[in-house]
Amino acid sequence: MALLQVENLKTHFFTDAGVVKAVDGVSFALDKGETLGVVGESGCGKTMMALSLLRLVPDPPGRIVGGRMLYQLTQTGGPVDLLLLNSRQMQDIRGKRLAMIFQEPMTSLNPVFTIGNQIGEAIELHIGGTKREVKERAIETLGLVGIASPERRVNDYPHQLSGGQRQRAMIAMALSCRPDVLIADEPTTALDVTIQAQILELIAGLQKKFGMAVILVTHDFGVIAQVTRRVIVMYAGRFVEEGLTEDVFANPLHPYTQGLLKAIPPLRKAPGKAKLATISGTVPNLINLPRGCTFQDRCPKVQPRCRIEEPQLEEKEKAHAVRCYFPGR
Amino acid sequence: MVTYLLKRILLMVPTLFGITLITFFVIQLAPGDPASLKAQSGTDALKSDQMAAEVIEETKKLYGLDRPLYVQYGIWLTRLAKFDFGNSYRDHRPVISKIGDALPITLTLNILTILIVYLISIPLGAYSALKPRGAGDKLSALMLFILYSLPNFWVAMMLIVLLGGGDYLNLFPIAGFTSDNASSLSLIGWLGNVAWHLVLPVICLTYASLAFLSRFSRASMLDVIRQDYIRTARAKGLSERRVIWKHALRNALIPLVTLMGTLLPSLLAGSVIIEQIFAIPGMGRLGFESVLSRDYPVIMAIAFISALLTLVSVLVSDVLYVVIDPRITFKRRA
Repeated sequence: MALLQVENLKTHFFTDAGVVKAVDGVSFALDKGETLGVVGESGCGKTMMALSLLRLVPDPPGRIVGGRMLYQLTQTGGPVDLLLLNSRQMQDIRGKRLAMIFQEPMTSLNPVFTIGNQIGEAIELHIGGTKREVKERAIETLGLVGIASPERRVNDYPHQLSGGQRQRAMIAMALSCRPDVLIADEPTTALDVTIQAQILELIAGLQKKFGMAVILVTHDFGVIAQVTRRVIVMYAGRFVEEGLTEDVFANPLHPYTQGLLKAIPPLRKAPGKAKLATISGTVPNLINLPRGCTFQDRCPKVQPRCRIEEPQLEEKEKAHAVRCYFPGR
Repeated sequence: MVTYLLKRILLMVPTLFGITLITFFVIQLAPGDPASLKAQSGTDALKSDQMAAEVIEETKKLYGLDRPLYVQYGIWLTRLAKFDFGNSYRDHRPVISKIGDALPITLTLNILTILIVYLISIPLGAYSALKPRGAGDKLSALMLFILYSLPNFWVAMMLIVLLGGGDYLNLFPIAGFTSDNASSLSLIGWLGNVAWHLVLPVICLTYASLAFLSRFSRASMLDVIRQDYIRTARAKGLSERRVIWKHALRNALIPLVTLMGTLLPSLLAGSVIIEQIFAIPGMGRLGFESVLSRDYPVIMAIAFISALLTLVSVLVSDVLYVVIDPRITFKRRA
């Protein structure tokens, strides 16, 4: 039984211009301790999907309009649908079972409270204990995420930390209550490359240590290749390909995935000789999606059929699904 | 911190000097001078123009008004250095004692007003920000805009007519700071008496600032609620109440603190009218009367003290910044 089973999740935004289907019927399962990557370009709905899992979609204008999110709350009992919980019950899930870290460590911490205060708050809420116990646990967690002299840093304000340290503090906050699932939304995008690698290693290390599952949302295939076991490719609010990371890299089935992989700049080729491959066109307007496949206007091998009816996400090879009539080469 | 404060206090000296310099010369631009105004008030006694002219000359000599302006200003400054504001031209009482009577009254009135304004407008603004464009927000916006557009002298008149024993209810006194027999009351009784007298004036001073500040705190709160760290706080599993009243409010307060520094001066100016209407013997009323009779020493003293209060309240709000926002510090970066 999967730890988290998402079925046909739909998150729509009701704007003056029309309904934006940011997440439009996505389904996936997440096992205990697994690392799942979600990849896609800006505006494909991956962040909104991540926020939907915690039911933190900005409302208004956004709302989760359909689907189920079955979560295995206890070892023995049946799963509960997170979408049916009241806000009080959902607060018990957030931070304790499902924790999240965000893209911008600069703005994701409250500037007027010490990081010890902000980490302690989650501990106090979900675990409890005396003031001293809470503080000790906060210090311990800060040490765990590799912050030097945590007993001093615990009293620092966010502006006194560097970007990498802040992201570490964010991770400490998320992990302080030992969640089952860590949702990381572009955790390394705002950091420079050397720090990126450190943070990814840190997340991978802590994941092994605590046996938690990780959902890693990113636009960076390099990051996906480094840490995930399974990957989902998202486009215009839907999943277009899903499979084991090595399979998707070795044998991308969807033309979009193929295009994304080709667009990774080659390291060895002499600069100036080869032009960087790109995917022509832009993401379609999510308010007026074309009939048929959402990728039709950018697809190099589009056929008349693609413009009439949208293909379904189907398993074409073992544990490797794709939403395309003409998968593969 | 101490060095910074000392520096700020020292910087006040040239600012105050500039303010008094400008005030001193601007008063002179107003037509009429205290000597001729005095002579006019006694026209019956002063039969001939020649006699009147003589009286004017004598009065001028008495007050030193016959000397060149820059000399007069120099004399005023030297006296100020000894904390001597001189005597009033009107009743020859020392200016300092007149102000000593009036200032506590005005400060009570205005500080009370500021407290009430902040106590009401911050929660009100925060509440409207929680459900922007909701029914509560729209209703409070409408009410506040109506309040904001009412001129306070009119509201003062209406309150007197409706609640001050004009035509309808006789609930509150309409004049003065205390009742005539107030000195015979116990301390508690005296405080109650003052509070009773202050109800109507404080309402008049409060409502417009209230409207302004509530809208301001709503905007500030809305701005903060959109921030990433609010989402982080929610992702931790904090209750909505905790998210708003701990994480959002503290940040939303930062710009409101700056306003405190500017609110006091504008209230001091506004209280001239209200003190006049409710016959409260405060700084506003004293200033108004002094201007009418060109009572230069009193005008200058009031200008000086108001300027000082303004500078001090700006300094206080700057210090509050440091208390409320850890990113701001007076320490020099190492």
